[in-house]
Amino acid sequence: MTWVGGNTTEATTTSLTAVDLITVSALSIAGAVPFVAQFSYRKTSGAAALVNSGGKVNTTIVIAPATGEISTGSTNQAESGYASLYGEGPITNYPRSAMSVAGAFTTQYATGLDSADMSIATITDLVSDGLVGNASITLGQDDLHVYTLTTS
Amino acid sequence: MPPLFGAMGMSRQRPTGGLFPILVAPPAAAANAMTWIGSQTTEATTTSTTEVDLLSISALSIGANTPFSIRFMYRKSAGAAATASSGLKLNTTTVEAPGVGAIPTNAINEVESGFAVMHLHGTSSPYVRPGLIYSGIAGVGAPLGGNAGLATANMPAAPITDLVSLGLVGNPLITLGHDEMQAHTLAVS
Repeated sequence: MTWVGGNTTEATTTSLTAVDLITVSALSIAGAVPFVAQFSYRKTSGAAALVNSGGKVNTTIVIAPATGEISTGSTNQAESGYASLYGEGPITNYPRSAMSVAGAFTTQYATGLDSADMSIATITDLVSDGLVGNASITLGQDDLHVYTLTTS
Repeated sequence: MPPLFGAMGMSRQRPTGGLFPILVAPPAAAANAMTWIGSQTTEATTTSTTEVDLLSISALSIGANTPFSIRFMYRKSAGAAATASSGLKLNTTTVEAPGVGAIPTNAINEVESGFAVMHLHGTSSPYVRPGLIYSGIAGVGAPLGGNAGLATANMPAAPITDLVSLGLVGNPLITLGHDEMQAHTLAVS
């Protein structure tokens, strides 16, 4: 397993609509190459609402935050969790060759790419997105790291 | 000013009692914690409504107490409003039968593709099912995920020599495909 990029500067938002938060760029993940991307996420107290995270591959949102696949509970409390995206660079007939698993406090999620196919091209950029359910709470994301696995 | 020796991948140490500094290599880097042990990168498909073998990696030797992982892509075609299900066999033992639900698809008449990851550990009594399966798939319809242990049978005793993905479809008008199966072991020291 080889670390191929990371971003360890926290990004936060109180936006009710999806915004980009953390970016790891200058990657070169070709088709069929296994990869793992993972990041920490948190929400503050302030309102009985959840926060949602998602992800973008190159310029395409493949997990939309609005669909709630990487989420939290809606109790008015601080929570933190962790998300992983497992996959392989997409190839023909397998444009959604990745899945996310996440957990925060007592909630957990495992799902496919709900929003769009990944383009059959080298993955150069991974971007975490997010939004909040109430502007009185803050979503934070930090420590996005990307790894590839050997295939020979 | 950049470190003179660090830039060369070396460090400078002054031995106790010595007169001159000497150049020494840094400690050896830790071995890669994950080792690739095999793959099957030729797609296999089925329209069978009963369980069949799809991808396989053989001639392995995964011992007791050795962590390992398996991953593969999977897809289903359109053609009928039916599911396709995938599973896993270790040696000759089906540890997760297709249809149990760990690696599912939607029953929507649409093209879908996804990914499955299995984290496992060579058995050591009394831990006879040390395995965890995650999967996720989506098409135009709702995404679907699986998250389960090994529901069908205990893992075979070490060594594990063969990894086999399994599959079946709910209607022969749709096709299930598996591709790009990769297996790795993890270091334990």
